[in-house]
Amino acid sequence: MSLLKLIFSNLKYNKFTSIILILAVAVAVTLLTSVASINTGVEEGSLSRLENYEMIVGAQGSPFQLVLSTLYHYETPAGNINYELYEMIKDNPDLNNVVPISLGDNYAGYRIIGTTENYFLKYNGLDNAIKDGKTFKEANEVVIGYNVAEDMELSIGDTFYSIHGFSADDGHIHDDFEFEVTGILEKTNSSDDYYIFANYEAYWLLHDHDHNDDHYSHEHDHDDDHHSHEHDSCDHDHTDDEITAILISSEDIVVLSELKNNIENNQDFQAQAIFVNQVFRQLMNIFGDGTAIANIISYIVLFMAILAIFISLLNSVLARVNELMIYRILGSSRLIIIKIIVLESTIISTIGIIIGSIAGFAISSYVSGIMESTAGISFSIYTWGFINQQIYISGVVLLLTLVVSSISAYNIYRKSPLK
Amino acid sequence: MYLQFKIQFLKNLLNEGYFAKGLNISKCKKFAITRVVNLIKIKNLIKKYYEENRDIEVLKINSLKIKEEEQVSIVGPSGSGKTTLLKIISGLINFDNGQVNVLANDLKEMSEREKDRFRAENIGYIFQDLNLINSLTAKENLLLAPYLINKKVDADLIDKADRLLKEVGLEHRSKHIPEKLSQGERQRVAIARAMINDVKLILADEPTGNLDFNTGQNIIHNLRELCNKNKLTLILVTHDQEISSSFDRIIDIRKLNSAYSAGVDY
Repeated sequence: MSLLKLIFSNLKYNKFTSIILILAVAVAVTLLTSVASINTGVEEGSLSRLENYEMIVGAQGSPFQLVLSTLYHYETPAGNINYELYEMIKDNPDLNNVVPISLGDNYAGYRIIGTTENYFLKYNGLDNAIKDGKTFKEANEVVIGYNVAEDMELSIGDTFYSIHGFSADDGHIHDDFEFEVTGILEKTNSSDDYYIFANYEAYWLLHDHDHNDDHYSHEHDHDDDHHSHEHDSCDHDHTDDEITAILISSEDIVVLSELKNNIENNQDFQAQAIFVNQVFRQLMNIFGDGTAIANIISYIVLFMAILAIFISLLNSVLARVNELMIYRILGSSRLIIIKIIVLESTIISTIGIIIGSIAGFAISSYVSGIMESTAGISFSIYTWGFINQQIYISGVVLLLTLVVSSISAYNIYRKSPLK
Repeated sequence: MYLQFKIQFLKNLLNEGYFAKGLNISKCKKFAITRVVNLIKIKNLIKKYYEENRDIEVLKINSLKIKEEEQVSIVGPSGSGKTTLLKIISGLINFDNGQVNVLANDLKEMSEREKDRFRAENIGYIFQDLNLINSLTAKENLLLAPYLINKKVDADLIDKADRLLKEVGLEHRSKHIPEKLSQGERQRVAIARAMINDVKLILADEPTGNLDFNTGQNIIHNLRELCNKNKLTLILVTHDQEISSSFDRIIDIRKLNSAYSAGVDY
């Protein structure tokens, strides 16, 4: 006979109530964990996308659209810019990195990004980022992200045709230009796992073929595929070739400001240069109301969770008043009764917290995957920040359990049904 | 605090006519009692309940004495104060006026904790129902009583539990939880449990109320036999005339109340 024997006998005997209580705590912890993780993760993940570049150059239009389409691959680009602009700035010694980006085609829904090896400087070079195979050299060669390879079961040497636009279902298939997989990226836990990387010149050749076949006119306008690039030339002197955007990295804000002025004042280019951080902050301000609503929902969830735990534990204790009174009649000290109530509630909460944490992390992980593939925002739940947050949530729930069970124990201590 | 309580306990014993051989404060429970005297002494007791904005006197007793090893049945209609009297004697509820001495202890002078401990060590309580912990087996229910007052649950105690279960005819049901036992079997477990702490007094509050006649008779017979064998005082509250008439002494609670009003001893 021991205190734990008494507690576990009761938990086993009242299986249904125990399971319901554990589930109530688990659901509350799951909600708290996922809401908190996703809120923090989305913000941190969004910010992490900005870390590599300070400026984006793109077609005139909405700066938000430029950021979203280029960094998060969430929107369709507003238009294209002349390739000469890239040629003009790519060798600027004051800039750390200049990366051209061409968008507009996909394979099975995975966006094809026309770029250079400079894109992979964040991984200390493409060679370092490649798991299998080699980098793209020819225009028809591609390096694919880890998840693209996994999901589409693509391996080195496999070939495919791209589809015009960003949707896999209703775009024109470029069946006269075959891409060949030459490399597969390591898992990066970022949106890059969901992209296909090619030489930016591939886009020009891709659409040259269309022109030559007279099969597909660049003047046409697809209503359904958010087609963004419109190549009106197919000669290769680069005079009229286009790319979608240029990503620029530099720590020198003066150089960047001068560059911005030069680009925007040059009417030939019809381009805009935006500071990524500035636009992102503006974007966050616009979303401010939405974030506030998300926070309010989090607090409501927190309140409901606390209420659910409180009511469940209190009911469970009150339902056992008669049983606990037998302890008193048998001469048990009140301390033993308090110990039984508090320990039992703590065991229930601990099991609930463990289940809830696992479920919460699973949901956060799932949402992280969706955010990665759809919005280019990735966040890892296996960080100290998330673990600390989980310790905080668990601590709050355990503290709450102690408070509720102590209140219940105090009630029984004061109020005897025999009186 | 506990030492003071023990000293007071000894003084009370001596005042009440008990004589202790080899007086030793630290072993005050092991006195050799040489004179049979009143185990329970009640004087001028009044217990009121506050209901509907007024005090209702549910129990008025001028004087009541119950001797050691005596077996008494208390009868009376519902609401006449039978159960209240048992709860007062066991220290489960307080009273408004008067003096209640149980085993030479003035209950009014004891703290709640002292009463809890006193009850656990000296009184076995049997209810009509809700006696047992549903999640524990019959044997575990027996062992719970000593465990709750910090007695070591060793092999001797386990043997004692087995012996008591045998004495109430339930040795084969020791591993069953209460819901697997019949109502009569549950009451037998409650009887066995009431005796496991070597108590002096058994209070039984309508223990056969939910049982058929024959089962009830058997259980009372069993209970009385065990009390005789272990030299225990038994106070049994019952509605059943057949049962009450088998007792040497029957206390009618209505007469107790009337005697108080008339100012005479019952």
